[in-house]
Amino acid sequence: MPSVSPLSEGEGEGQAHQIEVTRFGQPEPLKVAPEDVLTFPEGLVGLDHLRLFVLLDDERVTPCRWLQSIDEPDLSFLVVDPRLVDPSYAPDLPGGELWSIISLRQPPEQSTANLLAPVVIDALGRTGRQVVLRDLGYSLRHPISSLGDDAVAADSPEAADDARTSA
Amino acid sequence: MLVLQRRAGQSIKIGDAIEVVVLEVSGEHVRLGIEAPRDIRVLRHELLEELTQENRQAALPSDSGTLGPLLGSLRRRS
Repeated sequence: MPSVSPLSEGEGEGQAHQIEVTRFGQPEPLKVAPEDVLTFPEGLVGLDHLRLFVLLDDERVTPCRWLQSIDEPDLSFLVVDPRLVDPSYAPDLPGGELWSIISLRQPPEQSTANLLAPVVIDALGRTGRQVVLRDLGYSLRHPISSLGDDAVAADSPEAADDARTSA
Repeated sequence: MLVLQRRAGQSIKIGDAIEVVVLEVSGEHVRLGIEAPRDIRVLRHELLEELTQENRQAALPSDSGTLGPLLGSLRRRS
């Protein structure tokens, strides 16, 4: 069972973490420097207890990266630049770095990316949020291997009725 | 559960920052307008459940030894 061992005193920010993660079935030690810790104040949707993450490069999964949970080292998410999945992806967001969470399926070619609720990391690289777009034209399960296909939003028709007008 | 009766055009306040307005009642459908701070997620319940399910499914890509074809497809685009 992987465990979290704080290397210094204190909570959250400013703390290094030594964790053990599993990659391709093998345990791997991972030390996360304090400046690499991403805080998600609201967690992920439905997983709101996951507050601390790190975004990891891994040449074995290029161009994807791992969004690795520090709270639960067993949990990691494969994420990808959404524009690789949908070149026209341009959600109405104030800024920050965008990542889409991939849901792996079998066979792997049927895996999908979540374009409706991207992970947005602030410009300083300190804070992350999973933002649910109000533009419901983006799909929760966008096929990755259908480049050129226009994926249809997996949402119900009433979705279009949910536009939020700003006062 | 608190139960309140409201007509179209009337609203309720939840704390200081959230207001729910009944915009229109038509047959079985109620249109609601919701004012809430941006950092509060306002979602249809069904969508929240779908998002939750998707996130839980996406966690733990443990069988990532079979990622080859998927990554190959993405690498050709990057």
